[in-house]
Amino acid sequence: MKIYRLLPCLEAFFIFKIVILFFFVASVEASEISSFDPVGRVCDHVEESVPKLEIRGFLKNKTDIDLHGKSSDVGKGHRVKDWDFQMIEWNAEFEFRYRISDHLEVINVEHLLYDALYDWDKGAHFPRRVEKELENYNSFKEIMRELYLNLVYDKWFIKLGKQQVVWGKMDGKCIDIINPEDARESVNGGQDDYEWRRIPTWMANTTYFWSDYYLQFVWVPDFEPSISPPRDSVWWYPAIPSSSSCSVEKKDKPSSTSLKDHEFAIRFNMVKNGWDASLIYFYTWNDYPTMFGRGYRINPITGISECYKEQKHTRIHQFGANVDKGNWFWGRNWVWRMEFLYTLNHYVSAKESFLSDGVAKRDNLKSIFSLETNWWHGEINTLFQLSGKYQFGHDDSFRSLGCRMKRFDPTALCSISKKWYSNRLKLTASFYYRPEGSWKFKDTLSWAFSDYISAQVRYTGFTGPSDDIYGMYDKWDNIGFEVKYSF
Amino acid sequence: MMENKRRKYVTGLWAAIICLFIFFAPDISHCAQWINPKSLIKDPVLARLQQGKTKLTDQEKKEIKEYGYTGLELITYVDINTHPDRCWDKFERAVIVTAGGHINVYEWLWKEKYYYKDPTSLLTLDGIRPGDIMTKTAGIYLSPPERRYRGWLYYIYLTSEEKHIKDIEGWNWVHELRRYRRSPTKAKDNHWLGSVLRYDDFLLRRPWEEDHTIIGEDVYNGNECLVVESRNRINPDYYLSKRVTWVEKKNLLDLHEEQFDKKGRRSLIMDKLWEQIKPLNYWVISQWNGIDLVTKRRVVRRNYDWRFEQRFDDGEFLPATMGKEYFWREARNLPPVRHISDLPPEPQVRREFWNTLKAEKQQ
Repeated sequence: MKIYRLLPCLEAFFIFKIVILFFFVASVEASEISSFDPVGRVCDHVEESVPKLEIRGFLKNKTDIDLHGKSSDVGKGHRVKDWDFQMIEWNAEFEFRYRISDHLEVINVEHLLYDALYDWDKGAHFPRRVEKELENYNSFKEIMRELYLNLVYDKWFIKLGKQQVVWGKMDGKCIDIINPEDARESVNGGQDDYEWRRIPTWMANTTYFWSDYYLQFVWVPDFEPSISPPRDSVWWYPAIPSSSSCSVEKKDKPSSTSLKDHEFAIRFNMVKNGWDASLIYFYTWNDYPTMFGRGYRINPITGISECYKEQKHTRIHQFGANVDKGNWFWGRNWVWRMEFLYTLNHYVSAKESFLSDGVAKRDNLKSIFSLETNWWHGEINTLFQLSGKYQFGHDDSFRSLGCRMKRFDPTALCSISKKWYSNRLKLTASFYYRPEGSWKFKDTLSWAFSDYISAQVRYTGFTGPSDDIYGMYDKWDNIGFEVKYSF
Repeated sequence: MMENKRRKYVTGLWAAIICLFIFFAPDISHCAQWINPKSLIKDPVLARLQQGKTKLTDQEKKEIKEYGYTGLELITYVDINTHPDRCWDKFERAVIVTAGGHINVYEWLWKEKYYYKDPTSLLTLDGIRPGDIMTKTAGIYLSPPERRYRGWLYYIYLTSEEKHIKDIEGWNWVHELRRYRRSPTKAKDNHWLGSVLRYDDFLLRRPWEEDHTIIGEDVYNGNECLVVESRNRINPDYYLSKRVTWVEKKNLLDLHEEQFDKKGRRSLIMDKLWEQIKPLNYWVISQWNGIDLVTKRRVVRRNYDWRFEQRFDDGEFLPATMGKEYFWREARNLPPVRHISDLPPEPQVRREFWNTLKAEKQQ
């Protein structure tokens, strides 16, 4: 790590975000800071003029600074790293709720993004296609993040439209399977940013409640694939070479107009005698496409022989369960949670041979167990979580993100957080560990200036062997700053 | 003749109007109404002897002779008053102020449902046993913006001295994550929302957990009060050495409280403003006004727009229902709190009473 390289960046961002903010804080009374909410007051006026309308949202800047020097040969994939910043994201969100009647409301969430990395970091050279995809949103579909109708009537709860449905309760995904995920930041994400990593889709979501049970049906006509980091972007997998000698033919994604291409899910939940348990089933498509090897062919333009692959989504069945309970011992409440997900007919990529299609159809089982409690008068929260994926019919030729796939792939997470000063200052430290000796650290210090303005400083670090998901990002350690104004 | 006919007609019309009015008037005859807890319990022995206690102490006998109540009995009546009706909702605002004057304002809509027959049944264990759900309470945040649409749900269990069982179970809904999750609920001594209030101050403490002694009489804000000293007898490591409560004699409402930390220092003091809501006449706490004398932090909780006799279905207290993010009644626009001057004056130590008590002891 070359510390001197950081100085200009730190200067700029500390001056801009922290020092200025503290000057501002010092110059006004504490109670004035508490009530500083200019946009909120404008929204109040709009809400007064349009009864039954509610507006909320936020403005946010999130900047991650790379803690390593530039390099032309990183990881197994021999990546070229030439950036100082990993992101300089400016986000804005507006959430509108209009209550049509006591039982019916329409909700719209608009989201705007500009990543200044591509304009401000002059030393970074990304392909035009990467910049185009990540600098800002390119379609209305991305800006209009959610739009749905909420109908609450008697024991029915019906949500129609573009939305997020969340089934999992873990810090990580197990049965949180309904929406595809935006994984363009790969492993840089934290435990609590899944709102942004889920891609809302159009669906009908109906729940009927009894006293202790509920039954939920979800019908998803609109299939959206999950998104991986674009090749050559900051978070592109370092274990996979940037260039590929294969030509890939992308098959059409499942059609929204054909019923046989739609996805269907059902969940039964029970809360009784302190137990909260669910059974789920999802008839779906794999959100990540499978690459089927189709042999070699002569490129008609170059005349060179190249491998030819077909990329398409495949059908899978997912069966899952979750259970959680709180037990009182050692003078405190311990909450434990378990989730299981069995995936049937999942394709895994295998070491390629020109005689095969390079994939194998195998089932897998994901499971997560977590234990959480509070200490020290409730001011310290600790969470321990163990997750793992078991690959049935495992073979040494199986590959995942350019690395050898393990039969059982566990990850342990330990997280501790503490609050001070009436919950305004919060420190969270999270450690992820994988048995290969691979680690991820995420430490966040946040400060709430008021009910409306907050800031945080965050360190994210990776270490381990280069053929493991955390270890491959060994040179991607970063320090992040975030300022958020909510209204 | 005509005059008679007209008079008859007008009288008939009035009778019809009165009948119509009576017909459409809200029927509250079936509703429960506030009854003084002393009358409600009927047999004071139920309140005096709880949790298997078979006889009164000499001190309690003296208290009955002198004041007509025992300390435990009084605090039990106060506890009954803090749980009005079987099913209600309200708006609440909590203002938390740091020593430096920084203000946080939280607002929410809160609903609660009781799962026991009546307050007497909690003493006689009629239809409810320790470990059963006593109360379910749920809420949804209106502000601050970061918390809007977040929700919480608590199941509160009936506890007993004999059985060591959990007293509370909770879930939270986080709007940003679109997820509900069981939370490791707070213990009795944990601070509520980072304020000076603890969960025991308003949610978890049961009357039998403390030894109560009536230490005197006082007139507080024009109300005749009995002053009760309470010391925890369950947990030797409890965060308070004692707390002292001013209980208004007529309706049995606690108006003022002073708490003393483990070292015996006066820590939290608070005033409670009670209000009687028409037409059912339930008494409710409309304002909590507390200050920590050690840290100088303040908390002011205001309750608005109470509605009783609600018909909340059990299904509305399932964790997943928080996902509806549903305000079941129109949110009330409250005047903003922007400055400390918008808050009521700080509560004061009842020095006059303490001086009198000291003088009496010296005599």
